[in-house]
Amino acid sequence: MPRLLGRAMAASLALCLFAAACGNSTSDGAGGSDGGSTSQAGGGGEETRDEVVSITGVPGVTDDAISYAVVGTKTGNPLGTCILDCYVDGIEAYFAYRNSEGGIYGRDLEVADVIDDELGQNQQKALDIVSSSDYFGNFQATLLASGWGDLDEAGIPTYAWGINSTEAANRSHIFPSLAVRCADCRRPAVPYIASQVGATKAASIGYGVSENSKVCTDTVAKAFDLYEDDSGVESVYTNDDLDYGLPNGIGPEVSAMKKAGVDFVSTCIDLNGMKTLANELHRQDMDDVVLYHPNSYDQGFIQAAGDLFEGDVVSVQFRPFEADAEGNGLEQFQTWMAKQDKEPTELAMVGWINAAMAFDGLLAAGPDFDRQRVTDAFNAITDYTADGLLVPIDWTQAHTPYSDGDPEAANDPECVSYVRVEGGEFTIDDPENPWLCWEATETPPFEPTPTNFD
Amino acid sequence: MVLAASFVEDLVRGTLQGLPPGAVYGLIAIGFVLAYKTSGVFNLAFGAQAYVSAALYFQARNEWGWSNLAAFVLAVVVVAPAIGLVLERLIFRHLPPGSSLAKLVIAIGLSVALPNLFELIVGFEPVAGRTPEGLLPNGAGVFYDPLGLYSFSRDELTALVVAVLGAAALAALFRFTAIGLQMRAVVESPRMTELNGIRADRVSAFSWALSSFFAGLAGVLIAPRFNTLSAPDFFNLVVVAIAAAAIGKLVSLPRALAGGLGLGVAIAIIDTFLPRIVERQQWLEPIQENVTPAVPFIVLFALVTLWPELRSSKEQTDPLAGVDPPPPTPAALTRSPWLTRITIVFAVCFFLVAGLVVFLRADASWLFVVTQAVILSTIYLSITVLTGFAGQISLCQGAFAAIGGFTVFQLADRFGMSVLVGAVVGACIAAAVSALLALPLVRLGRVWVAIATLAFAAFFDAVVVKLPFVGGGGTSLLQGTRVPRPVIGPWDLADDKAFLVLAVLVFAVAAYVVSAVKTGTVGRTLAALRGSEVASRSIGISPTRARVTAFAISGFLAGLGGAMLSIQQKNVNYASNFAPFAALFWLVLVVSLGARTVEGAAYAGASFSLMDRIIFQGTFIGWILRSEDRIPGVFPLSPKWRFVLFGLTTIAFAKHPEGLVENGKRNAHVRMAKLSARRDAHREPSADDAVPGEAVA
Repeated sequence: MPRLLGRAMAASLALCLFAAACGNSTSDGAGGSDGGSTSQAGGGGEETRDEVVSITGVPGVTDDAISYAVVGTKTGNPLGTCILDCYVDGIEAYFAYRNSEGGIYGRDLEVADVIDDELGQNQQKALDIVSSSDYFGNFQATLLASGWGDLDEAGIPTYAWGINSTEAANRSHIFPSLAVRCADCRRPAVPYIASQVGATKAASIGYGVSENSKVCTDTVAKAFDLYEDDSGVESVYTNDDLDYGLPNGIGPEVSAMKKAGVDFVSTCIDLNGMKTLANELHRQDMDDVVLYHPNSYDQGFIQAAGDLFEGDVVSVQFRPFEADAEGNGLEQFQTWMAKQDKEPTELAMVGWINAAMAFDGLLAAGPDFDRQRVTDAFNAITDYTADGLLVPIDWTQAHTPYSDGDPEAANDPECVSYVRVEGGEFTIDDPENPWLCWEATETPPFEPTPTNFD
Repeated sequence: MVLAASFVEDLVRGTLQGLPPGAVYGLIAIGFVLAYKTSGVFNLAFGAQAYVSAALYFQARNEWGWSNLAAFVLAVVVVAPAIGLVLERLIFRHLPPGSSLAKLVIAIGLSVALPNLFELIVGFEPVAGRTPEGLLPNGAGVFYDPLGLYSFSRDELTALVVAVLGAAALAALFRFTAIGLQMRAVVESPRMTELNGIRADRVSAFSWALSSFFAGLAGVLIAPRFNTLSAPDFFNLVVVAIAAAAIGKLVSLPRALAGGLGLGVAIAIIDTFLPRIVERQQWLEPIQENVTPAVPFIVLFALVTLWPELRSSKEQTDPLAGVDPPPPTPAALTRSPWLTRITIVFAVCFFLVAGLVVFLRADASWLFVVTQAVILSTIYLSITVLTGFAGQISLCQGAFAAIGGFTVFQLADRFGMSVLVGAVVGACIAAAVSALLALPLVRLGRVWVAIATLAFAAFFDAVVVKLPFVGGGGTSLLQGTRVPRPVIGPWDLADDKAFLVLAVLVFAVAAYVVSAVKTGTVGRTLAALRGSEVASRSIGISPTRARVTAFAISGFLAGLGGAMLSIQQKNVNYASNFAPFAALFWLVLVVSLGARTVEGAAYAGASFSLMDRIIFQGTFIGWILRSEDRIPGVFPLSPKWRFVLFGLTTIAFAKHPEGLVENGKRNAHVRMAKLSARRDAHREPSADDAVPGEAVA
């Protein structure tokens, strides 16, 4: 046995020495499967929309249609929320809207395939797309984005639900619906909202198992400290190591919050965890505490909970459904979702926004388009709002993350949108100006400006 | 004085707050002990059984509009025992007593198959925020506050009362009734029980019906704790509740209940007081952040490795097992040399053709799954060594593989080191961790080794992955756990085909080493230990050294494979690749196909990666039908059917515990022998058959 171990160690050493002579590949594979065009972006625009140019050799493009695949999590979704089906509803509604106007460049937009990535098979499904010549681009509403690296390397335009900022970072072909560049920057949004609901003592809580949740929790707590003088809200309780799913309940933590006099809780947890938290607050006679929800913009979920969330504040990642719709993308969304006889859900809106991004990328690229031109053209846009549905995104910068204290913060304004729960319904304070925006500086001043991005 | 009163008040409140989750753990622990006591099965499918009843109750109440009582009768009184009876009749009746590995593997397979089968049949889909109702009306809305410190909902009190009464009633059943004694006797030796005139099969069926009824009852009582009813949550609870069952040594119902309640209370008290201590003693913060979520797993691991009563507990063995015939010799050792040669030639031809097709025709997607199959085969060799050769059950091979993956990521990210060097370093670290883990485990029974390794996997998942020097911390927040491909001189392995060649080479070397281990001193030592530990000791074999060596080799292979997988996927992808449940899948697959041969591992790797693409996506049917459309409406099969079929392969495994590959080889061998015999019988004597002298005459 010692001889065997000795041989094994010798072999390992030899392998080490051999491997030590090796390095790592720096190839990022950038460049698309359609040739990695280096052409200049920006040959398009609304005026060229009806021009027809014969295109050959570009995957997923025929004389009649431009085809996309949709990948999302359906089977194995631990949250139990409608992801893939609702997302597809939004994309198809947008495509129906644009196709009703004649499509683009003489072609219809179409969803060629809907693919369930079964939670853990995103990379495999992404490679199926890479290997196929049937799709020009793809849409992704996935919980585990393991395949985005391959899609980026293959140069395939990928429009995605913006919950996987880590996987989207530094990948120029990935376009999330939400561009989170700095996860740990202390911003005034949550302290401001707490002050608006009359809170004086705040808590910040999140799961320990997720680095995102942990950082979110700690960042909010630091923001409370930073803006305490302005907001009059003191951070009195922070807990960033809750067990995922709260299997043991949250009784001791709520007791501690009660003892500390908490009247506002900022959370970085999922909507099921929110319900457990609200139940425990109710049990301990803390119904007046206002919860700040990051992930609960789901009318069905809120209604099913009765008056559990009454008075709470819910963050929204796009123009809220309750905001003014006239003359912006929300109006078209509501019209076309109704025409398609589909429910206007949060994921449907994300699908609609992603489809709008795909369309606008094509439009910017011009009638003689290919994958690389569409990517380049979209990455040249500096204030993309999806027709007033999003906070303006500067796509020349959006792929690059940075950290707290980075001077880059001076170029990255903060805007939030939120609704309140009243009578089991979402309501908005100012429907004409659904966003609050803060000046882009390293430490923004406390007072925001109500804003509209129509 | 005021301070002391406040402390006591908090202590009492913490205790009360721990009782509801404690009752849940207690219920599951009782069910676990009941299943083990009455069937000898370490029933990891308990959560799946509980989920089926809970979901059926929910469906009947909410979707079909049934009353509480009718839904309860259907879900708990009728369906739950029926599931137990079917499992006993189809699967467990065929297993010999004491076959702990087979029972464990089948239970894992069922834990995957049952929920998916149920959802397909009933059309049930988990929906966020739709909290299941309890057994009593308005169970979540009515509260009782007996001490004025903390209120319990009606649902929580029901669960608590049922847990206490259930433990008492079942303990009385075992202690004071004939059927209780018979159930325990049948688990130990059905044949000996039958010698006493007891119908062992009927008793066994009753046992399964009873434990399944309890699983159903527990499921319905636990369900109101979840805001989305989904199977994985039940499985996670089971893993935690095993700690409580271990406190009852898997045999004592009252102690299991006490363990469950104690666990709930301990966690609540820690959550109450530890943050306050940390406020004063900042150096304790890492303990609060990292250890608190892992309390059940630490308790479980400590119990298994440190509690003398558990360390000395022996596994159930059938006293009549000595009259059983020995297991058959492996087919490869009994077949004729010409058949062996034909097999080798056929295998070489097959792999050459398959290799050529892959290299010449495969696109990126096919290259990915083929490479993944080869790398997974390397990881599965770790199970071959540990389970096939050493007879040990490890449920934490995913953690060892993850160590390899994370090491590559860290060394490449922090030091710019070659990922190939990182892979070797990662494999060595995994080997060292595996050997260290083995030290306290090697003298335990197989079920306890399985429990301890499951605890380690859960601990790794809950704590170790979060550590910045493992999972990346802030680095992973910005970039994830990305891993580059290696370059060897002019050979840039960013190219997928080049990387496949490397993966094949690594697998070939690993397979050669495993074969050498099997036929070498280590393998023979492990074989001797599997035969008789006492006899092995008498000839100077050290079981500790042999098993620790097996664990180390196994850890090395898993770490190496995990590192290769991360390099292939250019990311560690921990949640997709290495989470504890995925590793349970691996064990089921390897053991079902054949844990004692390299071929078994290779088949398992191919099945895991390629079966989905070739069979379930309809590619094979498409080839046969020469149609791109395959059969519309049938293919691709629902992912749930895949889980069902995968889990149900364990039924075949129950009948062929040597593994399906070995069984196939043996059957082919028998067929060839029959064919040969028939040919010899029908053949006319020819001049060649004659003795030379006679021919001349």
